[in-house]
Amino acid sequence: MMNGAMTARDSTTTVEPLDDSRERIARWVTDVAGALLERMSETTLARDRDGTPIDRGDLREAARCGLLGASLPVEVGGRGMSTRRWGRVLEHVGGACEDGSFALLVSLFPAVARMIHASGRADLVDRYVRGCITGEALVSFAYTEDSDPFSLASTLESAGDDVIVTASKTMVTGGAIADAYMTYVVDQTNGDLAVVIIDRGVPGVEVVPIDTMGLRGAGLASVHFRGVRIPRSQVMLEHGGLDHVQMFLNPRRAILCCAPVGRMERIIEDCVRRLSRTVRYGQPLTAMQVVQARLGKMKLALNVARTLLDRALLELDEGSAHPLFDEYVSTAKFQITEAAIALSLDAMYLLGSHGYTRAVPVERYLRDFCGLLAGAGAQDVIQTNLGMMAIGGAKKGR
Amino acid sequence: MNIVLSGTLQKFAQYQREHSIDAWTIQEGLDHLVKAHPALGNALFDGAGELRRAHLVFLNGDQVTSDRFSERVGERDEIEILTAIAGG
Repeated sequence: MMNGAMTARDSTTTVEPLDDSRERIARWVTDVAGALLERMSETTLARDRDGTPIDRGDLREAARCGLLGASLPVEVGGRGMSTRRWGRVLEHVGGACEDGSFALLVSLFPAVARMIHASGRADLVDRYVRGCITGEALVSFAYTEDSDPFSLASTLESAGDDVIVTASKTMVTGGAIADAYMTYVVDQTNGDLAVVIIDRGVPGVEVVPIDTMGLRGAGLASVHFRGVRIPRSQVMLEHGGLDHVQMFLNPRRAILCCAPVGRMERIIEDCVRRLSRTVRYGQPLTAMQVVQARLGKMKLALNVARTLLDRALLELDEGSAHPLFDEYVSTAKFQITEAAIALSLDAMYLLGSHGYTRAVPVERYLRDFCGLLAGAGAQDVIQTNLGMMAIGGAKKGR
Repeated sequence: MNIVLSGTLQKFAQYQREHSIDAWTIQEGLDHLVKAHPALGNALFDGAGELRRAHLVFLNGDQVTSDRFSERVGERDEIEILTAIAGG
């Protein structure tokens, strides 16, 4: 086992210029974070068994390697990668690291930091965006309340120079790990949704871990704000939170899928390796056409997923994607989720009884991929939205 | 004009999907609709009075942005408001 702390290089020491080619990006990731990814892979089983969140020290190491700052703007100390390049970094991380939770968190915290950067608030940027880059102040996204967006029960009340927040956010990815939360609460003075940053250490913040089917290292938690009193300066946005949350989730749908695509490729490679060593009727299973056909189906799914993802990332970079709910980005998220789950089931078909055991990690990948079903917009909601848009557009010319 | 609301918004208009409104512009139509169903106001507009960007507006099947809300529309025109939002 390599020691990440001793062997990982600082990202800025990489001499080779980076471009968008998968090979070059893979070399960069291996160079700056290979040892960390290897260590995270080796400790996946224990986290999955116990439901232990990824260690905060490992995320600080991810920051030191340059992963947490890779997609953040150069002027605040980030590397300023395009969405496309960042997506490919995550794709490689997803393929190289056995723990899907790691790539999920490495993608999540910078995504929240980007929203804080976009606020233009220098005080918040200094504290939380630079804090993300160094790994010292990681902010999670706390929105879900088990209600529709127009019926949130959370409240924000004025109290002189302070505000008082009361809210229960039921599903917060990284909630058990984060140092602060970007949360959405109804301002009682105007009835609109405000966006507030709340530090975890403030009195009245309670974090309750949630036991999950997959992504068990991702620190999913419910986060409760019980009359939390914070300075008004922690209110990042006074109104328009509904649009803000959609602007966060829209690109998130594409970014969320990058690591799973990398993992899909590794599943195919693992299947080929195992099946080529398995002999039946005097020949390796890979010589059988029925096996070749299913592998071909898996490869088709991977290629389609990559094509969808590449276009979605490109549209996000070019600014041609709708900023709140882009049809193509949502299509990519929907299809890649379905493809990843189907591909892991295909692997189980191919691996026979071995695929059903915990000795082969396909069952864990399947559980992890199922996390995409609800992430950044439930599949059925995305489907409904796409249907509504089709109906709206179909009336043209009538 | 006829204003059609997507499922999400119907709850603020007594679950009525279609609304026949006597108005000459989209903006006027939206204002009349909110007057008839005040609960729609906060769902449709933000604190600054702007239509929330999560709502997509179609005029006879063509998506239109708020800069066209003051254009004249006819009584047979159909305005459809689709709310493309998803949780996290």
